[in-house]
Amino acid sequence: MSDLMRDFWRILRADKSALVGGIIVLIYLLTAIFGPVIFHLSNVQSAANAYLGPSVRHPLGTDFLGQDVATELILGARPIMEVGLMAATIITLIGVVIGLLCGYVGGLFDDTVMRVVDVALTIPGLPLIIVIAAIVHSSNPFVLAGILSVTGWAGLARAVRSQATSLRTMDFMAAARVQGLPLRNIVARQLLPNVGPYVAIHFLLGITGAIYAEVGLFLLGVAPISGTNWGIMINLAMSQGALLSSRSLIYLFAPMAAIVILQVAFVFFSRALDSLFNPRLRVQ
Amino acid sequence: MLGTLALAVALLLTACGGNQSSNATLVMASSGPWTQWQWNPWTTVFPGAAGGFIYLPLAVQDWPNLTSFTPMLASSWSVQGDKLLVKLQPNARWQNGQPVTSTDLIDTLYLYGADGAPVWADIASVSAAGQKEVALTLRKGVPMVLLENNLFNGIIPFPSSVWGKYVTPSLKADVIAYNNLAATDPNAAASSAANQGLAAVFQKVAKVAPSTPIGDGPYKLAGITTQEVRLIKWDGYYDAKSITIPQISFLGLAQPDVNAQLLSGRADFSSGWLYMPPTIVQRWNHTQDAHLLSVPGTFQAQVIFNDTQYPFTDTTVRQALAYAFPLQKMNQLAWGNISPHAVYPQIPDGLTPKVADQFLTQSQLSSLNTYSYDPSKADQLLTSAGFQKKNGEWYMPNGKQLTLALSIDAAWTDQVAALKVAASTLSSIGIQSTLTTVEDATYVQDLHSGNFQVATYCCAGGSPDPLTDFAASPMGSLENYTTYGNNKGQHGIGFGPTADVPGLGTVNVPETLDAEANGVGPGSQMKDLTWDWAKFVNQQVPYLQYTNFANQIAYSTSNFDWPKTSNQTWVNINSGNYAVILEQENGSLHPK
Amino acid sequence: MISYIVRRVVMAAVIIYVVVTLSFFMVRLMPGNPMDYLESQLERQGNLTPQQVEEKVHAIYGLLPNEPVWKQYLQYMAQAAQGNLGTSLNDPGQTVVHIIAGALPWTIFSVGVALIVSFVIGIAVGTVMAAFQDRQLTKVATLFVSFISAIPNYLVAIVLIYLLADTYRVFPTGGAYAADVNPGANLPFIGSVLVHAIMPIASYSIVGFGGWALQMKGSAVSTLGSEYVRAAEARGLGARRITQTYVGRNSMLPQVTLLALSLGFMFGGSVFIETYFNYPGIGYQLINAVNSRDYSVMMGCFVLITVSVVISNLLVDLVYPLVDPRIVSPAGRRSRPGARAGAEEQNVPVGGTVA
Repeated sequence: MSDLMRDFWRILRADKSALVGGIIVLIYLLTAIFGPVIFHLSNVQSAANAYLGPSVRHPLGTDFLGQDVATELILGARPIMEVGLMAATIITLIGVVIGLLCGYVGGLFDDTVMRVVDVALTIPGLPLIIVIAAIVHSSNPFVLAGILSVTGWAGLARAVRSQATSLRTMDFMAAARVQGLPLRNIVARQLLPNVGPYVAIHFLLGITGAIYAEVGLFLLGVAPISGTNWGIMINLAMSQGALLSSRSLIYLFAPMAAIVILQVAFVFFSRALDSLFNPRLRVQ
Repeated sequence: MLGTLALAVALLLTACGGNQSSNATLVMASSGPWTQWQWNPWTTVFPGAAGGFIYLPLAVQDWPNLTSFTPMLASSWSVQGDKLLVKLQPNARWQNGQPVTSTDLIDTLYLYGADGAPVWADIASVSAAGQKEVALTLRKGVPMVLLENNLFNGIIPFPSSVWGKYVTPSLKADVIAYNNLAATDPNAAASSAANQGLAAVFQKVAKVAPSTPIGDGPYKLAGITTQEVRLIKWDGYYDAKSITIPQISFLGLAQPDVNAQLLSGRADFSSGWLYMPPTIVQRWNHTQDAHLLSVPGTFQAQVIFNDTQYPFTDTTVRQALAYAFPLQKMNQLAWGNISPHAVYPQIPDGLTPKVADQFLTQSQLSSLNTYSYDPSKADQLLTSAGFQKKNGEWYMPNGKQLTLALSIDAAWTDQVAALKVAASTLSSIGIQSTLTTVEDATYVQDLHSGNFQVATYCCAGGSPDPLTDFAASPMGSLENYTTYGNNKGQHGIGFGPTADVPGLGTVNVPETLDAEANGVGPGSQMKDLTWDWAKFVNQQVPYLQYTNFANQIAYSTSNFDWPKTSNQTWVNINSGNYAVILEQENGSLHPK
Repeated sequence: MISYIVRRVVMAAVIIYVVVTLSFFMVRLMPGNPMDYLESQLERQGNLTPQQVEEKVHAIYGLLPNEPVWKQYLQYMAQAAQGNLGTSLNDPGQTVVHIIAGALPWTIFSVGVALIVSFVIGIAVGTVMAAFQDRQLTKVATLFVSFISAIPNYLVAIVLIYLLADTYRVFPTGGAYAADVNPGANLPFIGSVLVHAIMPIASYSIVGFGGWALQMKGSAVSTLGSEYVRAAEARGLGARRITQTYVGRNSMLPQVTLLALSLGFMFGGSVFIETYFNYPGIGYQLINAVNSRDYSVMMGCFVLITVSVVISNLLVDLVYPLVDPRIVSPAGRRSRPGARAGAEEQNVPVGGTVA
C-alpha cells in the first residue's frame, strides 16, 4: 500500500495539474466541513449595501440584499459537496456490488441484471432525474442524492463486471479457488484491488456528474430553494437580473466560477488516479 | 476561434436573413413565455397578444373609476329600465370581411355562459335590439354598475362565423336555466343537468383549434413563434386612419429577459407584471430615451398564517407577528424606492390605497393600526400571550421554541427577495425563521391541505370594487372552505369560517363576502361594509397585507413618441395592449 | 449476422416498453394535480371571479377516470402502441404527439449539428495533439481542452447569452426563428433558423468537443505505440499512409461507438440549453411541462427522448458491423461490451456518469 502511496505522490508531483486539482478539492472539502462553523451570514440587510463592489470587508462584494457574497459562497459549499459525495457514494456502492456479483456469479443472474443495466445505460439520466425530482419535490439532501444516482450506477456496474469476469478466469483466481478461500476473501483480496482503479475514478466522476445535475435542478427551479447553495445563488442572481448590470455580475459569476473550478479540479485530480492505476501509463 | 467564426457567420446570415426589425415596428416585451398556443379564447393557451390588437374589447375601464369606461367596439350604451342597451361600432368588420353584428356578441355571451362568466350572474336574458344593438336584461337586485363591470371587463366578442355553430338552442336554454337556478341555489345549480350540458359544450369548444384568428381589431396576425407574435396593421379596421404603427412585435419572455430586451434597446415598451429590480431601474433610468412609470394598482400580496395550528390561532400572536415583519424594509429591498413594482402598505387593511381612499374617510383610515416594524411592541404582545424570551430566542407557553417556516411560491421571484428579508429580520429578533420555496405547480395545493405554517399569498384584489377585493382575499370563498374543485371543504388558507366581524356580528366569512360582492353596488352601503371588513382585517389580522403591487410601465422614446409620463391615460388604462391602441387613436403615440 | 440484428432490435423494443411502463407509473404517482396549477394561474390573471376560475378548470378537465390501475395501464399501453400519448392537459385541443412532433425536429437538428461539429473539431484537435504529443504547446492545449470540457453546459449558455445577446446584440436571445419569416423552404426562414441555432449549438459544442479531442488523443497515442504501426514503420511505409490507414482508422473506431452514447447525454443536456435559449425543442417542452404539471406532455417528452436515444443506439449498432466486421463474430462480440465500458471510463464529459 505504501508503494501505491509513493507512486501516487510521484505522479502528483510529475503532473502539476493533477496536484493543483487535488489541492483545490481538498480546500473545497475543508470549506464544506468547517465553513459553516466559522462563517455566519449576517442578518443585516440593507438596500444601501446592495451590490457593493469587492472590498476588504466584502472580497466578492455583496448581493441584492447587501449580504456578503463570499460568505454565501462558503456556506453554499456544503450542500453541494454533501449531495455530490452522497450521490457518488450511492452510485459507487450499487455499481460495485452489482458488478462484482454479476462477474462472480455469472449465468442467468448475470444475464438478467446486465439487461437491466442496458436499460439504465440507455435511458438519458438527466430527463429522468428531472421528472423524478418534479414528482418528489424535496430539498432533503439524502433524497436528492438518491434521485441523482438513479441511473449513474449502471456504467460502473458494467465496467466492474467485465473486470471481474476477466479476472475470474485468470490463474491467481483459480489458485485461490483451489486453495479453498471463501468467497468473501476472494472478493476482498483479489477482486477489489483489481477493480479499484475503475471504482476510484468512477467515484470522482460521479461527484462531478452529481454536482452538474444538482446545480442544474436548482437552476431550473425543479428543486426547492431553501438556505444557500451555489445553484440557488445562480438561480436568484438570474431572476434578480444580475446578468443585466455590471455591478451585480460578480454575484452571478462567483458561484459559477466556484462550480467550474471544482469540476475542473475533480477532473484533473482523477487523471492522476488514472495514471496511478493504469500500469501502461505508470511505466512512462 | 469558434466564437469569431460564429460571429462572422451570424453577421452574414443576419444580413441575408433580413430579420432586422425596422424602426416602425413597435416591440412590446411581456413576461409570460408560452410553449403552446391556440387561437381559441376558451383555452388557457390563448395568446395574450390577441386582446386589443386582434380582438377588440367592448369598452375599457378608466381605472380606478368603477363607473367610467372608454368605448371601443361598443360605440355607446344606455340604460332603459332594467335593460342595458349596447350599440356596436357601425363600421366594425371581421377580418374575413363580414360585419360585426349583434349575433356575434350574443353568441359570444352564451359561450362565455358555458365558461361560467360572472356576467351571467348579472343578467336574466340577452337579445338583439337591432343589427348592431344588443339588449341585456338585468337580473333582479343586481346593481347596473356590476353588470357594466363584468360585461366590459370580462367579455371580448368573437366571430359567429367560427364559434356560432356551437351555440345551439339547447346551450342557450342551459345557460339561462343554470344561471336562474344558481341565483337562488348555487349547490343545486352545480349538480343540475343544465350545468352538465354546459360542461359538455365547453369541453367540446375547448378542443377547437382554429388555424388563424379572425379578429375585428386594428391588427392581424403575421406570424407566431414560441416567444413572439408578429402583428401587422389591418386596413379594414374602422378607425384604421388613426393607426400609425404598421407592425407590432409582441414578445413573451421569462422575466429577466424582458428587462434584457428593454435595456438592450430591442424592446420599446413593457407593461403589465413588468418587474424591474432596483438595480435594473437604476440602469434603465440612465438609459437614453428611457422612461419608467409606476402606477399604483389594485393587486396585493399577503402573509397568511395557518390558523388551524397553534400559535397562529391566537390573535395576539398574529398581531405580534404583524409588528415583527419589517414590511417597509421587505418592500424596499425587493422592489426599491424609485418607480417600484410594489410598495409597502402603510395601513394593512386588506385594500390598496387607491381603493381605500375612495371608500374610507381619512379619519377612518387614521384610526387603523399601521403595524410599522416595532420589535418592542412584538415583544410586548408575545409576552402578553404567555411567550417567554430566553437567551434572545422566543419560547411558546408549552416550552417549545417559536420557529417559523415561511413558504413561498418559487415562481414569485421578486417576492422571494422580500421574504428572505423577513426571515432574516425575524431570526434576528429571536423568532427563528427559515424560508423555503415551493414549486409553482403544487404551491396552492400545499396551502389548501394545510401543509404550511406561514406562507405568502398572491395576488388578491385586482378590482376597484373593495368588496370584490375582500372576496378574492384568502378569507374569500375561493380559498376559505371553497365549495368547488379539488380543495372543496379544505381550510388550509383562510380564516374562520365564522368570525366576529365588527358591525356584522358573528358571520360565516366566505359566504357573507360572496353575497356582498355579488349584491352590493357603489353607495353608502358599500362604504359601510368596506369599513367593517377593513377593521376586521386590521384588528384580527386574518392575514397580513405586506405589499401593494404597482404596474411598472417602461417605454423608450427612441423610435416612438409616447404620451408624457404625467398623462392620465397611463393611469386609466391598465392593459398595455389597450394603451397602445387607445393612445394611437387619441394621437399621442406614433412612430418618430 | 441476422441473430445479431434480431438481438439488437429486441433489446431496443424491450427498453422502449420498460420506459413507457415507467412513465405510466410515474404519472400515477404524481402528487397534487394539474388542476390546481391551472387554478392558481387563472387566479393570478386577476379578472376572474373564484367561481369562474373553478368552473373553467372543471370544464377543461372534466373528471379523472376512477378505474382500477391495471385497466388504466392496459389502456395506456394500447394507446401508446398506436402512437397515442393522450392530449395536453393545458391545451386539450392538442395531442401530445402533435406537440412533440413539432418540438423533436428542433432538438434533432440542434443536437445533431452540435454532435457533428464537436465530433469533427474534437477528432481534428485530438489527432493534432497526438501527432505532436511532446510539444509544450500540446501540453497547454490539453490542459485547456480538459478545462473547457469540465464546464457545465448551462454555465456556458449563461455566459454566451450575457456576451452575445445582452451585451453585444449579435444573436437573438432565443426562439428557433423570427416571427416575421414564413416557415418553409425559403431563404429568410433558413437564415433565421441558422442564426437562432448558433448559440445553442455553440453551447453544446464548446463543452462537447473537448471530450472527443481527449479521447481521440488517447486512442491515437496508444495506436501509435501498437505493434502493427511499428511494424508498418519498419516496413518503410510512408508517414501519411500510416496515419491514414493504420492510426486514423483504428483510433477512430471506438469514437464512433461513443457517438451514440453521447447522443443520449446531449439529448439530456438539451433540457438546460433549450430552456435558456427558449429553443422550442423537446427539452424545452419537458421543462415547461414539468413547471406547469402538464403530466401527459411531460411523460410524452420523456418517452420520446428515450426512444430517440434507443433508436440512434440501434442505428449505430446496425451500422457498426459495416465499419468493423469483427463485431458480429462471437469473439468480437464478447470483447465489445468490455471495450465500450473501458472507453467510457476515460474523459467522460461532466455529468457523464450521472446525466
